[in-house]
Amino acid sequence: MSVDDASSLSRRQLSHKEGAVCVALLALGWAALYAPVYFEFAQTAWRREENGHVLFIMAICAGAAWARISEGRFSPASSGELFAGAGVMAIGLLVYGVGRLGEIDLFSSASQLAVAFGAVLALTGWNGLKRLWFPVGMLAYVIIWPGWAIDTLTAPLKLFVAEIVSQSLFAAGLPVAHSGAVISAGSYELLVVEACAGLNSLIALTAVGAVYLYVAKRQSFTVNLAVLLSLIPIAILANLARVAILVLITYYWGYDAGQSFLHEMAGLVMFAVALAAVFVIDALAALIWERRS
Amino acid sequence: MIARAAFIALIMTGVALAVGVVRPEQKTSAQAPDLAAMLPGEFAEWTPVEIASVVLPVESEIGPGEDIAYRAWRSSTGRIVTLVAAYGPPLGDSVRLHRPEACYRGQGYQVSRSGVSPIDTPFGDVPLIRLETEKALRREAVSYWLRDGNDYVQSEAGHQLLFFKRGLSGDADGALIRVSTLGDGENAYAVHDQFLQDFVAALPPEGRRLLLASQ
Repeated sequence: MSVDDASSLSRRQLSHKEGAVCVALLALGWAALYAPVYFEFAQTAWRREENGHVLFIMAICAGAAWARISEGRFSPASSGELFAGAGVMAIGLLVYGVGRLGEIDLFSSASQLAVAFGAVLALTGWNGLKRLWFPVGMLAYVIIWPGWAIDTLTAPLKLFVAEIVSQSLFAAGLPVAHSGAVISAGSYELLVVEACAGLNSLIALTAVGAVYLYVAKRQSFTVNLAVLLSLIPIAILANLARVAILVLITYYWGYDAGQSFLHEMAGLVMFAVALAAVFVIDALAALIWERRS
Repeated sequence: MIARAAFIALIMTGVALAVGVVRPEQKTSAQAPDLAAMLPGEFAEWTPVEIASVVLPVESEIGPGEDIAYRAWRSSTGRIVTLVAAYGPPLGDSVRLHRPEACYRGQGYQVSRSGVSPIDTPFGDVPLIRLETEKALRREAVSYWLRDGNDYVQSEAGHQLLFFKRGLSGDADGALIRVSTLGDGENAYAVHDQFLQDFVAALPPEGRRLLLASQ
């Protein structure tokens, strides 16, 4: 702990005890706002496959925030920061109210981002926000997107997956074709369902990638950006490979093999390969850009 | 500093309480209705026939409180009409109640929308959405209505508005009735209209309550 400068109160750092009381109070307020929302989501939205990641992300946010807060060294916000934070929070609470009254999960869940941002800004200013950007920013992943948005995104993605997979396997000399979201391989017909669109692996891989970057603490902005930008194409390629592998398994070993444990295995293996690719790109980018900086 | 945090916590709690007071009581999802039991057997000029094929949602997993039923009838002149009925409870994901556009596209059909036209029933006007679908040599003309809460959906944008409105009223269940005939064109829709008018008239009161918007 540094020595308090009595002449400028706003520069002084919070004591551990003060910090703990503030965190406890905010946690109570947060619980009052969001416990009913979480209770409802636990019975509806979170059960849907596309939101399977939400609880993990919430745990990561809580853990990362806790790690930072327990380091201490936060100072109170200036009055300008207080007003800015209060403004953002007011917007967040408005969105929350509309979301709760109109039963719009998108709004109720997205309001968390603004409420957390506003509360941190109002209490500890831009400095505090800078140190807590990761747990606050990761709240973007807990947003519940409405069914129509997911459908509009996955419907063309499904057709794209079916088309690319069947065309590449056909080019490789196999009797594979598709009609809509149905791939026929030899005498088998396979349906490209929502999970095959790869939205889940896209979300999971970008989330894991973000956590990795946060933990790795690369100094160079270029390295971070290169890894971030590589996440999306890697996730898409990994998903295409996964679906192609499933078609091949079915083609050579039959329908039952394609639906057996091999189905899950293919997903896990491709996720591991994708993660490995992210690490390789990170290492390469660090090699190229970090030596110079 | 602690005073600030306390103030923020107080405001959060205040907003939560205010919302809790204003918010309408939510009905918990009830027992799933048995739609198949509510579909009429023989009515007007329509006799039930064995169903030949029906385009269903690609992932037809039925959630709690939801139900789906299908049946086919033949008219005295030999036209076969296939009907799919689906119901989603309040608090369910009834908005995703398998929109026919998505069902048909998912199964590889080309789908084009050819407008909305209402039919006149003893229980109010029902706007029917018309689709023309095509896959290789198979063509199907489709008409459907989608009830969301107390209203019928006529467009995607209108649907979003309804979603908001029904949240305020706490009335959130939904139902879908879809009919289809093989072949294309205008006279198919006339058959659909006639069929659905007879169908609505033949529905038991419980079926009307689930499938139609109340007056």
